[in-house]
Amino acid sequence: MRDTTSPKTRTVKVWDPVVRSFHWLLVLAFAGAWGLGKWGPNQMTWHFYFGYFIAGLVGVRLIWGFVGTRNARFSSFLFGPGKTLAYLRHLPSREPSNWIGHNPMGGWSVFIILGLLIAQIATGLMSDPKDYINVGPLAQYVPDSISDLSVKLHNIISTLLLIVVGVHISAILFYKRWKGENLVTPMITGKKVVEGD
Amino acid sequence: MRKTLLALCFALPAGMVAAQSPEDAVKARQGYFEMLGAQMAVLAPMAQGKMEFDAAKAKVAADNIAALAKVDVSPLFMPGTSTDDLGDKTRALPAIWEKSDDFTAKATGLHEAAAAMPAAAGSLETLQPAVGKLGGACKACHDDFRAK
Repeated sequence: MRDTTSPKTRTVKVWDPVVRSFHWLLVLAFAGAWGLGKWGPNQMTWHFYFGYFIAGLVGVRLIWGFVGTRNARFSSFLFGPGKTLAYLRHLPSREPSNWIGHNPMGGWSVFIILGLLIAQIATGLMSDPKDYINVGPLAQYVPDSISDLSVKLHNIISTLLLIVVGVHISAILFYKRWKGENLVTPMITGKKVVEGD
Repeated sequence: MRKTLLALCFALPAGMVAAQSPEDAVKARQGYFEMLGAQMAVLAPMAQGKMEFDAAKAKVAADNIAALAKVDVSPLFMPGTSTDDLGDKTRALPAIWEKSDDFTAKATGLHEAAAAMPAAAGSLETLQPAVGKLGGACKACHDDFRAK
């Protein structure tokens, strides 16, 4: 573990309140939506409400990705293959990345997560599981083949999202244990201690 | 009278199909669920306020679905008619035959929910929870036994 009190460290603001609220509300809402979808009552009203809430969260995040603070903007964490590979090569080293904002890998995972969430919201809205009580509000506007396919995809993406959450938590643990870098506290307080000037 | 006729409409072919091809059994099965769906297409929009509540219409659909649920369609679920056997001609998962006790329990859930419909169709207040239960019975079975 690095000595974070050494004189060569400084504290910087990394995550603004919108990003932090989005993150933790998404954690709660995703857990709720996923659990209700899997084990909830057959009348899925609350799964729908959680889904709508997530749609709202994602909507706000998309807007914030264009007009938000620097580290929240998509343009600040969209990296090409060169920079991403360079970061990957450095990943196994046992030292903190000291990256401020989303590093190239983290950036890509944000795009993947947002993309999957958008796909999950869209397929959920169009789903018709033929039970007449849990029909997505947009199912009536699309052909039967699409509302049918949406149920299938909604199911597949739910598994993909769970895998992505697993990878995300594993990465946080990897940074903490292997690289000695705490990524959780900054997401709570907004502030990160980095080495160097 | 309606119930008897409806029951005959399905009981007869159901009995005959048992001795026929798997493809015919699948067709009869799908027709049966289309009939259930046609009743739900009246009851569910009313319960959800998307269609104005009409006690007479609700009663007809409720009586129909209660009668349909009484039909024994188990001969139509003959062995060799799962997705494993017939590919995308059916959405009946092999689990129907592998976990037949559970499948029967889910079918009983539908029977009970459907049997409660005629008594519940008189007012919107009683229709809503009854349709919720009925749709829940659809979902419970689709979740485990119908290919996504």
